[in-house]
Amino acid sequence: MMGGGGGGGGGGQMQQVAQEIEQMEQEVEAIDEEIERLREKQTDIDEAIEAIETLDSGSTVQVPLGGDAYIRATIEDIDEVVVSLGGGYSAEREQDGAVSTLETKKETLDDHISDLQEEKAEVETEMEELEQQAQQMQQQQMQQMMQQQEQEDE
Amino acid sequence: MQGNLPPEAQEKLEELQDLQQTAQQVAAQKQQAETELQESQTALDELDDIDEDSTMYREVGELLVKTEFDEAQDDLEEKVNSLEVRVETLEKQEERVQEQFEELQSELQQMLGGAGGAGPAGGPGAGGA
Repeated sequence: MMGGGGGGGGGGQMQQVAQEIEQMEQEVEAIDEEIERLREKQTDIDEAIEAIETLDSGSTVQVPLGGDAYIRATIEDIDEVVVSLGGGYSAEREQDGAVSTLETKKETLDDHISDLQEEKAEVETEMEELEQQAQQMQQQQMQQMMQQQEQEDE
Repeated sequence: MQGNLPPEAQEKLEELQDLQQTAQQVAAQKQQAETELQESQTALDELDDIDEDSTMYREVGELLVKTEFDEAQDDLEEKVNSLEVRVETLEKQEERVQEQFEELQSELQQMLGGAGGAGPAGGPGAGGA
């Protein structure tokens, strides 16, 4: 009879491990999404840098109004680029300064991505360990059941 | 599977699941605070490369409202300080949840006796983005 109780306990532990594995899978998914979002931000910054470096005072541009509508405008002064610094503030910078600020933002995003990749690797390692643990538990349960069966047969 | 468990153990298992959820929420809040802190710190560092007479703007929704350099600097410093405190608080909260989790886990382990064989799984492990 005692063996039956043991099986239940194993089941509880198995369930716990299975839940943790599922949770870690969700975690990895969330990290992947965040990395993707940061990479998109980097692409946007690259495009902005390219635009600032290409344009000059007096250049004609088409400004998007939304809904695929544009209006023609002329760059009055390329050394008056307003760049977001982060933390809810922006500053007016000259052409090179604006590029430098954007490069810094890109580097910050790089660091953030690296941190997230490390975190993801840690979670994946932990997940592998748990999966091995779950397999061991399953094997032990099988052995217990077989032993029980043998005892009952005797 | 839960049906096989004694009621007290089932209760503990549910508590454990609740704690896991709490841990996930705390971790998400901490990550958000850390991101904001990193961003505000970067902005503050950027101010070192900007002339004090540069035109500064504060972002209010979609609008950019003109502001003073000193005002921006003071506000960002204050923001960084309060975010550092918030991150610290959330770290302590995370540790507390981890301790509670381990405590509950060993209680559950004892309830189930030597049943499962393999040791307990890791902590709530919530570092999600």
